Amino acid sequence: MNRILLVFLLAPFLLQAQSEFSVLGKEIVPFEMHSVNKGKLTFDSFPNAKGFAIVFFCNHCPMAKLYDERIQELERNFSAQGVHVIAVNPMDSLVYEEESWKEMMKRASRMNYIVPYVQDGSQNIARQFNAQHTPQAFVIWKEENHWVVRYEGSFDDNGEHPQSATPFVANAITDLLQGKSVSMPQSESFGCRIFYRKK
Amino acid sequence: MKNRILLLSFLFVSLQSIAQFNEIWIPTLEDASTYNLNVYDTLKQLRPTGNQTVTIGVNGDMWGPTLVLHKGQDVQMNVTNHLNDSTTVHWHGLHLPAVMDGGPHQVIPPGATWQPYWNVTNRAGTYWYHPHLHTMTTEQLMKGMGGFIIIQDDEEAAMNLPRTYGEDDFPIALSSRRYTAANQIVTANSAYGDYMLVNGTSSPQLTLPKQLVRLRILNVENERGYNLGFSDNRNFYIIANDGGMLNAPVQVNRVKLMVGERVEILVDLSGDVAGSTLDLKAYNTGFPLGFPGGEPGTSGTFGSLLNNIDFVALHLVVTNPTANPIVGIPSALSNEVYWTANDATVNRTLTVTGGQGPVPFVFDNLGFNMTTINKTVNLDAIEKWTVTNNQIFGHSFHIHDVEFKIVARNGSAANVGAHEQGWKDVFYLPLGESVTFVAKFSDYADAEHPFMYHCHFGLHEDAGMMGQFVVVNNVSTEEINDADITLFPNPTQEVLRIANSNVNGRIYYVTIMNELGRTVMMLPSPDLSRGIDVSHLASGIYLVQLTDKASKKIIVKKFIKE
Repeated sequence: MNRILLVFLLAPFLLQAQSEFSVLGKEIVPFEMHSVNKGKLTFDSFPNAKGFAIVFFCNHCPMAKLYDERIQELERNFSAQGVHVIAVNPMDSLVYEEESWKEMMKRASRMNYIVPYVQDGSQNIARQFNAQHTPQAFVIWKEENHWVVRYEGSFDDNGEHPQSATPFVANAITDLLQGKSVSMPQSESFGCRIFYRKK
Repeated sequence: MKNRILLLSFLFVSLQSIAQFNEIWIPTLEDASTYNLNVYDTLKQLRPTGNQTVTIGVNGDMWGPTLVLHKGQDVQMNVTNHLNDSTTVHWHGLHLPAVMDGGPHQVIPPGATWQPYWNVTNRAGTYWYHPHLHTMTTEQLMKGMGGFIIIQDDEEAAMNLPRTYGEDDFPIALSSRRYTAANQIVTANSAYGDYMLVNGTSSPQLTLPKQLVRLRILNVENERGYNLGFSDNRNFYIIANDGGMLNAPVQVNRVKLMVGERVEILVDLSGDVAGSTLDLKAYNTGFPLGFPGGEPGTSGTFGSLLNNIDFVALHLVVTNPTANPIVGIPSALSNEVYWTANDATVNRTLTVTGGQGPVPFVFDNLGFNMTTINKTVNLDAIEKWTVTNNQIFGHSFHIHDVEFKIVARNGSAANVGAHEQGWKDVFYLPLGESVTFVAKFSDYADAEHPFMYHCHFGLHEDAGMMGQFVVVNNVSTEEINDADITLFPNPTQEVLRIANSNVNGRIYYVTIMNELGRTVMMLPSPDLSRGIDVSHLASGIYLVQLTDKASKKIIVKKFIKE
């Protein structure tokens, strides 16, 4: 009961904190992707795509490490319906030894990635989404030939216990596939901060 | 009626769940001369349900091992930063060279190993280590990065005191946290936590044997002060504070403990019943404006569910005694002779300013600047510093390098608390008071590398309530030139040796980078006679940056690791 009261009291503050970086409703300009396991890709590489789950991800962050399998599962569950998952690594590969192209290849191979694992060396993809952490998920949806952000936040709400988690991203995709607006379009994201290089 | 029964049942279940306590983590005790401290981003289930919380661990998941150091011992620290961010590790209360001190200048980038070393000269007592990265200290500390240091010496070893770690001698790091809706620790715009966290354990409980026990209590909060006492109002005995043993135990039933301060107490549980319970409580109700945690609100930057109330800091359960319990409170402990105001040859003043609206608290209207040396102290000087605070709120003042003696509060020795009579490195600076201390700045002169003095409230320190001082002597060194330096053997497999043909020159710092430019090793003021162990480095070409003490010039050499 106290926790409900607390959440109620904190809600204005949290929403304000969330909106500072929000790109909800923003149009995303299609981008090129260099993946370690699927080669060079564009949005046209997925001709029938209705939407994408773009998951900012990396090798060294402990919270991100918990989500390898869940990201592949999302792809398995929704690819036939025209929704694809792309894992994007925006971490600086000079600062973090584990984030090199070679280490990304090893991870994609070791964890049997079926989704593209994309290195965002310029951080331009992350900048478009104003991504703040790994892991952080966005669902973009094709609306009259424009790609619009319809969900942003966490992948789900329980890192170590997927069986207890509410699948925020999957729920958002399900809503969109049913032609509905997303019932929970935002959640709090956290994990390892993405540090942007000065341009 | 049915609804009311349902509501009552719900409340009962809620209260039951609130009353669940978790036995606190007693950090692993490590006793060595070389410590490998690996700092990691970690996860911990801190809330009863829902997501895990992102934390920082040292060799574990939150709040690191307790390091035992021995007075007179040479100690080597190898601190490797596996975090997503840079960090530093400060050895709080320890007397050592500024370049080994782990302040804001000793930044360890991700992936690098920082290797300070020193001879332990501090007295037996309870000290600690924690991050000190400027503007990031609050976040990293609140995520749980830190740990205890227990120093042992012959004097303390001869005293009849409980000292069996985890049996009759317990480390207790008191703090609290506020959580977001997703169970993450709030580190910005929040001075206080809402839920207790002791040694990284939520809803904390400690089981103590039915005998005389020693509690080493550290306030590791962001800002909150604790007015500590036991729930049955029993007396207890302060035997040590920041800088080690007092000359005699002080009997009290309350002690104020501010951020960064430590106190060692003896509490006698021999008359308690095994299975009974007791609480270590914060009697924080009703303090005047300025007491940290006395604010009336329950939310927002300065509000908290624990503010201005009496609350349980640590639930205690009494169990059966150990085999050979220590009995009796000693009448005397140490024989320290302290500095007096008359010993000081230099007088300095600091005044708290700012703190209104968006202007942060600072000293003397000057916010912290990494390139500004605020004070220059002569080696071996005995100085008297008076810090005055007439500005809005209280503070917790800490100075690096020295343990000092508080000689006056508001100009009078009579105002100095019975609980703060020993050597100190932190003091409470309430609103409307001045505090005067005397310290000797001995052993370590370094004109280049400063020590810090600052408010230990995380938000105050991060916002610039910090200054820096250097300790200087007149010894100068000659400039080293590139031709004076030879690396051998090169290539090497195990140890890299650095020969300097200029006997009057000194290499101040060595940094080793790989061919991508990533820093892999940082060696402050290295002892070159020992060589540098590079056996763990991957094969490849490395750059060695050697900083010349006299000119600050950097000489770059290459070596090959086979």
